[in-house]
Amino acid sequence: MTAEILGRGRARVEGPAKVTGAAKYAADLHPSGLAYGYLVLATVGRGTVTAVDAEAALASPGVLAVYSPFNPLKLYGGIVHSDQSFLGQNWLPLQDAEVRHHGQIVGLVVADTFEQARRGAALVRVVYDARPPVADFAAALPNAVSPGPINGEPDVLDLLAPGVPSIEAALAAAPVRAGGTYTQPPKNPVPLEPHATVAVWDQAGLTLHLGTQAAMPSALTVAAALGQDPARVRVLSEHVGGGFGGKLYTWAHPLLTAAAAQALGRPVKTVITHEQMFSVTGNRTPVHQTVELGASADGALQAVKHEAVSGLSTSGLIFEQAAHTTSRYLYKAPNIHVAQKVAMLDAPPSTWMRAPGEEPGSFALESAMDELAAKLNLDPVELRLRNYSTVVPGRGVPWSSKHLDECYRLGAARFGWNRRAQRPGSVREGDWLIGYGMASAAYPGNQFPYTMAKVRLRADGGAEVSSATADLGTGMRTVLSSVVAERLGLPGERVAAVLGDSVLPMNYGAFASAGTASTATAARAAASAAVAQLVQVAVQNAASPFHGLDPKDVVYAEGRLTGPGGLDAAFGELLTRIDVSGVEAQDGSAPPPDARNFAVHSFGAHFCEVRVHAWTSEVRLRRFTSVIDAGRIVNERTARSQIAGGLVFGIGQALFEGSVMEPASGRTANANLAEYLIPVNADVPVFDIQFLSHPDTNFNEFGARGIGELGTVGSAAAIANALFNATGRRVRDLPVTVDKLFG
Amino acid sequence: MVTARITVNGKEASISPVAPHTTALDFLRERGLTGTKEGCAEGECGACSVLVARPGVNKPTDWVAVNACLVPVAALDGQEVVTSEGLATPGEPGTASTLHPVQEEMAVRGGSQCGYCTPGFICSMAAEYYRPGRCAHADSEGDAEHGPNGFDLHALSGNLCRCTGYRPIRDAAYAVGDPAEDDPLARRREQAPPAPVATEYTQDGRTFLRKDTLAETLRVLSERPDAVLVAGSTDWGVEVNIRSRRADCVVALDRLSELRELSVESDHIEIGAALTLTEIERRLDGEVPLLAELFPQFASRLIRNSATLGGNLGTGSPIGDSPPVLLALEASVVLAHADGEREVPLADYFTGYRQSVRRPGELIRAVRVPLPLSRVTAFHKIAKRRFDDISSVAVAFALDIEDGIVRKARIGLGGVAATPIRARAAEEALEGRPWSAETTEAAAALLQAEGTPMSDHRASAGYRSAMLGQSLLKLYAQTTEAVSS
Repeated sequence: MTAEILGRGRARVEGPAKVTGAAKYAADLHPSGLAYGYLVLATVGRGTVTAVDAEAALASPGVLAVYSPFNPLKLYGGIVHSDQSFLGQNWLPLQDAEVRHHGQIVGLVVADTFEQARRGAALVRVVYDARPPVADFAAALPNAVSPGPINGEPDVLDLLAPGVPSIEAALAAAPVRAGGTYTQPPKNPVPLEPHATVAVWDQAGLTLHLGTQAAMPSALTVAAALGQDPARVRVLSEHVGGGFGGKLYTWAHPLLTAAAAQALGRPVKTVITHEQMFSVTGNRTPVHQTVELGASADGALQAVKHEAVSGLSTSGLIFEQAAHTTSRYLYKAPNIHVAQKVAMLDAPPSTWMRAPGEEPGSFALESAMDELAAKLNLDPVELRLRNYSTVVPGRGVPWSSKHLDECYRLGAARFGWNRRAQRPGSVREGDWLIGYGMASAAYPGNQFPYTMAKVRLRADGGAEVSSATADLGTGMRTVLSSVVAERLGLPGERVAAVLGDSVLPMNYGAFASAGTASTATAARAAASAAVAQLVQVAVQNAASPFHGLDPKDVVYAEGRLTGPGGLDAAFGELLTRIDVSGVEAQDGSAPPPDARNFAVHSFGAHFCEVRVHAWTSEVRLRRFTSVIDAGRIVNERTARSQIAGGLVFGIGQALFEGSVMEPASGRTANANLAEYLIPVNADVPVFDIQFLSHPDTNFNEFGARGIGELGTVGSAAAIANALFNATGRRVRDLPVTVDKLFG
Repeated sequence: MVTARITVNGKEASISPVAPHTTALDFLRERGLTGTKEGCAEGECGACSVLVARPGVNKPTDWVAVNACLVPVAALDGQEVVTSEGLATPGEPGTASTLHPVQEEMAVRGGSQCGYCTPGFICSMAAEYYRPGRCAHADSEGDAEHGPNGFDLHALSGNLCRCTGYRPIRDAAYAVGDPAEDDPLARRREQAPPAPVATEYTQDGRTFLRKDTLAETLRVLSERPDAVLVAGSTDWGVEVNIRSRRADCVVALDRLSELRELSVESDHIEIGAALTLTEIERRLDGEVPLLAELFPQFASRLIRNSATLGGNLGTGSPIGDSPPVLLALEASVVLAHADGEREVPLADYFTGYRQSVRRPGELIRAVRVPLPLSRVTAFHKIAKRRFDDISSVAVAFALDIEDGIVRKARIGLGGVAATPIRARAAEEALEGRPWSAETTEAAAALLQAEGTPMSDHRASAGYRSAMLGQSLLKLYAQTTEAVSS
């Protein structure tokens, strides 16, 4: 039974609810008396709102209120972005007349029905004193500034061998050099579920249904903005329709919606449109990188130089840390230089998006490695093996567990890498040019500072595990149920997992690929604590057959307590007999105390085959092999889905995705799913995803590391490298659209 | 006001008092059927997909999946709709419902991850599950676009997923079997579809109108020249949702029998303007190879289930996918007016950006494709994404080649000018000359100079121009390969 619950994996526990439409997302809630909010967004890229004419909107059927900078809802300032407040931007909506970027919220219309609210919003006339925005990333590059330290290290970090004066000197001394400039546009997480919120007030305070990756920090943020006691704000997020980083922070619309519901004395629902998502919620910043690699003739790296400039919205907060998260440690080299700058833009808020930093960084570094391999006429896998790092450069500490070399070898064997032609453009099948490419993946194994979970054993013989995390499709419910079922020796279906509620035991949420390491570890500890509690109750309760025994003599296994003299009872029977509805206990997880002695990363190697049409340069992906080293895999089925989904993000990065910002206006020209292209079914090739099984018990008791973002790291480089192999054309500007390959 | 009624999951409901621009999606969700999701509100993502009972091609009734976000609910007056909630069989009180076979496969094979796109995938998959003849095409291997169970992967082309990587969804689709004998939706196919009903639905001073006959409709148009004409609403729905457009009067054409005929005459094929692209595709069944090549490239199955040829020509978009093909086929449009009909060659129909010779009070009744068809045809749509995408450039060829000489050449282009155009210079450079590398290279050079393509985020002007020439070279290479092999 145990083997069945963990490892190969159960089907997703909430699958039936999702396939029948029964699963409720925030926008599906419909409390009685509900009114609807619809946002009004700025149509200039920078400036001031000088007037708002709401007359026509207010006269439109069903419209209840029009809020604007001149009729604002009160929000309290002074919110500091911190450990527990996750406000996604550095200003609060409608509290001043400033327009900081195109598509910023400048109004909220509330009406009796959704159709009336959106009609009303279309009738609001906003007058601006417009100023030209700084919205051209390329033009802003020369003005880029230091962002301050990155991960506790200097933004310009030189790790040079003794006697080497500079990275330039190390490069100059290297006989073979390769690299270039790598660029990519801003992106949006575009989860299929648009951001949505429903605010309901009663005597107990505010209940906010909000699709979020982080229910507890959201509740604290909303409480602060509304000037409320945090105990009076509860955030519910039962199901979340994808997040990818975009639903980690708290954006402006739930604050306004909650305030409007309070002002109007009615529940209010605001669902932002996909178009609005591009400016109301956060984006991945554009990135400009240069990588220069220097190597000796045998392929040993002598110098790695990686400099990145990322955009950063003047509204805050996050920028892509491309070099420090990749070239800093991925290869063994005596001389490493990484540097990061930011170029300020009057753009929608910059935020986290799947594999922040590693996504652009791995594209640049792993493309440059491919270019170096080509110059050396060396197999790209062999080049990586020759520069394999076993300790973190400059720090000297080893990894908690690293089997990337096995990923390379197994991946190459499964993929048939030995059939790759070293000479680009030399393999053709009919009208199609064939290319093979590969790249490495590495993403930090994260664990939250502390995480709590509760396990309750019930008199009906079932159990429940709870923690204030979220399941955005990651499989967290299934993982928690399975981990606790395995520890308790119960069938999986007897253990319910409850999450998505800010009042549950402390959890930062679902992000940074830290979910399984943090929450599964806490849940397992809580299950053990619940068993200990059960034993205590069994020996202390006078009606219990175990009464008076030494707890050490009572053994729990497979859902039963046994003791001396043939004492034996299923815990449900015992609790029923002693008339106790259930016993419960909380416990937590935290990173190991010797964490500084190890670096922790999950690793992988991607191999892909592409076809490029000889006449039109159209690209088709044929297959991917990815071998993943992520410690113990709790559920292979949901894990495989996570890696496949990550690979599809890499496909999007390589071939499709990018927001097009008009330099003059700061408007995103393709803010919709018709023109911001994400891969469709037919774009997706066959995936051969393999997991190594090396439990990482240096990292946590359970031995699991994160996988949610790993698939995205390096996969775009694998595709770009395969395109080079197919055509001989190196494209360093993403996405690789057909016109860049043609000619 | 006449009340409009709709049957959802077997239960009848009144539409009133919702506003006429309320979408079917909002209507369903307001009534608690929140399984149907709103994703993009413009027919791109398919999260809102629902099943509608429509006149069948091979059986009396087909279950067809459509984007509920684009259809005004008033357009479904008298129709039957099934949502993801309605596919499962409810259990006894207190017990779980029994999953529909497509739901079962999706749940078991991990086809649902975050779950938001799932009900839409379920409905698209169910429509294909019930497609008559699906299993007749089944073979044990399947191919790149079909499962071993005959499942056509294009059925899912209008559904986006951002989580799963699509493979588990494909696995689920390829695993479903045949509907059971007593499956109520399978049995429903054997009965007549819901009859079209006349609708006059007014709320807040705005009207949705559906007349019984073409004559009545034309009379309305002469009285209401401001009326917006809709068939599948795939374009108008986007205008309403995204660009906040509203109309005082919307007139539906999609059920007019005079616009829904398809006839093959001795010298032409006439295709009713209100037939959906899916209906045309299935009824022609490959008879016009150039159209058969077009259909899989045209938007997605969800859109093709609603969109019509009349609508694609009526909106006059320069990047519509059907005009290049119809231009190459030398098609004409039949324009109906209260005063009578006229036939206009498509090449003379477009006059400017989204403008045409169609006069107020006139509507497109049918499209005529002359016979016989040219033997060598090809449609090349260059887009960034494989399906469900707007073309960067589209080229259609129809050539008659006899004894190695090009007797006739017709080339239609989209995406290179303010209107779809014929490539006359390249046609002339081909006609009367041998079908040879030399001829095609010369014609390709002329083809490349056609139109005035723009640079935008879809493609550069240079690439668009180059693709025009390349598509002819590609066609030549393909035909000569075919000859030599």
